[in-house]
Amino acid sequence: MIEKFREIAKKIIQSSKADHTEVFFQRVKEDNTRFGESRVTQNMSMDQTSLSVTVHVGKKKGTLTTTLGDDIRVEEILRRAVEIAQNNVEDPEYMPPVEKEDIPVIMRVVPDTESVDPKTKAGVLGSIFNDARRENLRVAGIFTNGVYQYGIFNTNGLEAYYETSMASLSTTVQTENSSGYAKDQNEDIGKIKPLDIYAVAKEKAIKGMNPKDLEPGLYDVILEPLAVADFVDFMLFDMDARGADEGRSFFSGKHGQKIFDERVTLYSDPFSELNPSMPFDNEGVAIKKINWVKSGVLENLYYDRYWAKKNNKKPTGRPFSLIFADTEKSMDELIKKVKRGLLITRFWYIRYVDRKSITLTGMTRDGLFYIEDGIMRYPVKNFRFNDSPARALANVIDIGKGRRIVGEEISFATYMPTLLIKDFNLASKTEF
Amino acid sequence: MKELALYFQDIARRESIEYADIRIGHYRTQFLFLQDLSPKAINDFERMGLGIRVLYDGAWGFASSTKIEKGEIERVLKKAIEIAKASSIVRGDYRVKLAQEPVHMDKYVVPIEIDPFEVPINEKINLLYGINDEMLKVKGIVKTYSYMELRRRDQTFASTEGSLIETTIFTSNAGYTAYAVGNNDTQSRSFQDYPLNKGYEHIRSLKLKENAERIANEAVMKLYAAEPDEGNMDLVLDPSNLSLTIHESVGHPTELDRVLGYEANYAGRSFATPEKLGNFKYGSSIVNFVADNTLPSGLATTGFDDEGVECQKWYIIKDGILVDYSSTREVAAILGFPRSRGSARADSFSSFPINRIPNLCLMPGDESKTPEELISDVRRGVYIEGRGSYSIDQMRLNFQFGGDLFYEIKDGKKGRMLKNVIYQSITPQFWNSLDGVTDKRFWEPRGFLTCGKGEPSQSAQMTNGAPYARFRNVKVGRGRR
Repeated sequence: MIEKFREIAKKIIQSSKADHTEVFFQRVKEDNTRFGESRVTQNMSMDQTSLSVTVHVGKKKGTLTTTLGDDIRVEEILRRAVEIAQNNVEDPEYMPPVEKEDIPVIMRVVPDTESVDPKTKAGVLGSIFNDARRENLRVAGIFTNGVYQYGIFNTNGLEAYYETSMASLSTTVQTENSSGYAKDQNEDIGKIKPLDIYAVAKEKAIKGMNPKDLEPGLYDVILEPLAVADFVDFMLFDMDARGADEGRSFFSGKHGQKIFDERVTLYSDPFSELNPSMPFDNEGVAIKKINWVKSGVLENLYYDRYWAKKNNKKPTGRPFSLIFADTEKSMDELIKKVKRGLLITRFWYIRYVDRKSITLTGMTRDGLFYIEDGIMRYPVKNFRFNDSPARALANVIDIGKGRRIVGEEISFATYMPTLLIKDFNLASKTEF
Repeated sequence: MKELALYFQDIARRESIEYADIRIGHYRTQFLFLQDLSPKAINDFERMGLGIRVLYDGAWGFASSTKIEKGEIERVLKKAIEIAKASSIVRGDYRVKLAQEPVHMDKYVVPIEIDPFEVPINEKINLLYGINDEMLKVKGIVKTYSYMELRRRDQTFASTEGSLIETTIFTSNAGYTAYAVGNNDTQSRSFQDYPLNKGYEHIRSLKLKENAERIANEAVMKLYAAEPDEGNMDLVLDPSNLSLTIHESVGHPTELDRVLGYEANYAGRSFATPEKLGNFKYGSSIVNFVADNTLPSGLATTGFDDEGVECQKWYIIKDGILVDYSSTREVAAILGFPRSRGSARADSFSSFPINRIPNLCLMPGDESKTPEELISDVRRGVYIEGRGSYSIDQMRLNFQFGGDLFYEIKDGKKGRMLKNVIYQSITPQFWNSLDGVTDKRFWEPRGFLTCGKGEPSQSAQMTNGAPYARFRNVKVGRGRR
């Protein structure tokens, strides 16, 4: 696909009379099989490429985004983008396109992931449905396989291209009064084990039957990696240097300070085997390994190109990855450390309550278990939490083994450990 | 597009399938976003394509393409059939059946006065620029955002049953936010979404710039406001705040696909299960929710839904009792309903239509009543304007909401400004605590453009109108830990 993108981009850039022209491509070729009540409810196939052209006229910009068909109306696309730019106001924060840089071209497409046919997927799901029907369980979920291609080209000679495949399966198994959830994803569909994923969700659902009432309050909690991902990912939105410099964020004035437990290290690295990702951001800025928090100390915040230039810093790029350094400690080891607490499988519907303190709210879901004296005792009904990842990461009791996971709150994969947190605020309860 | 739709009907009817439909869509969106005086995004989006849905042996298949031509329609139809055949292998005892719908040969166009795409783009940019400029003049304001979103969707729907429907939908929306820093705090205040299916005349009627200085001043005032007392007290909610509470605690739980378990893996299920129909006391006797997809300028007023069902008006909660759901043809048939409520909508030609919230509105009271009269009967409580934090569990029971502006109510009077207020309740308890609503003079058609549901997530728009309303004895807390 890189050749096709390059050829179209060349045609557009050569035809453009604007001061600068940037061309962005994104192709999504994806098959999604959704299921609910132990049957397929939607089974879909799509192949869509979007083409986005940004022109610069002096310090004014205009962008036109369209679906890419066989008939590319280069003249019309440019005319409309220029018309927008000419009618825009001058941008006091204007930045020309990203300068040319040698960004490695990564092609991570596994052919089997792209080519698996609907019948094969249905066969795999059929085994799960049959088991669920036999066991009087209900199963829901989604089985996805796809190829994703991105390209950025501009008049400064930048050429950035990335492609990857991805397969994922998530499933929720339900009994009359409980549910369990599990999920996995990989570039290679052969490495996804649907029956194993289903087995984890099924075990959670069965262990979770007949949950007991527990009163809200402060509890030590073990967060499984999926729960950590959704909770900690929210913090990423605030790790912006400009917000901090303007006094709007939790991180204001904290650069270089120890803000979290010394065992907390958060970094991004597109080339890490733990969580490989795209090595450039949406503007085409190259992404290199960067520590955000090292041993509890705030080392870096995100700098876009304008704010970096204004403050004499280097732009960091906006990475599509976060890695939270883990340990080899097992779940059982963490459970043994809990005097009185809870095991949380995942969260749901997390939203900000207070941006400055990064206080979030959300619900526990699909597997909540009470732990006492180091032993998992019984399932309990779900809670709403009101707490901050910033506070939680300063109150870490221990860190366990991690895994790569795509949470529900951001679309890209992260690598997250299991976490044992002190005094997590479970503020109210619900009825199931 | 009509000629291609007829071609589709012709070739699809020759296939050995139970049913098929096509949506050929042309979507245009203009999105403008300014951060302070910097135009961060001035974008035109234009997408075209087609999606074909096939029912074979009681199971669905769906495929889409961005090429709009006869040969591609043939290819995509074959692909959708192949996928439906795969689905049918594992359908078990269940067969998809569709509730009956008359054949429609019709056109629907949202009435507008001013085509938003004919208004010069510099007028729109200058409006947003002027708003941010006005807000930045207020001492204490460190950041401003303003935006405008204008949409047009042209769609041709055709089915093997014979329906052929052409629709053109316009939607217009704008808003802005000011951030203040000071007193060791950060606070924001917004002129919030007020989208409607109207033309640019809606943007011009919003008095956007006229309110900019007030909004910025209120952001600064919030820095110095007090935190609320914690505990149970009364609430008076304005239509903007209440629209989100309605959306989450009434709109989503009464989507029939969710009730039947179709969304269990992501968006969740519902406590409002079918055995409760006609007997469950969802709210107090003055709680009346009417779904109305014929509401003039309503965001879900599209003439017909995305499976060719005509838009309708019906009660979902009447005199406090749960009486109906929103539904699609498939889920309506499961419960034996004679007809779908026309709530199947997709966010694109490449998305499968799913059960969405209709224009679902809390009805105003018949008796003359003002917001001040609601407040006058509160001894201890909070008055809340606008939307803030929001979250609800996957069965739609435990919810927690914030707001954008808060005032203490003491002995029947609105008093000092508050900040960081949250309220938390359980859905039926909350709606049963409603004891007062204002009359129709104070009813507002607030709504949403980005309601997320489905996997992969789809975005939908709908109006959730409301009067001002008073709730008794609700748990109020502080939003900062």
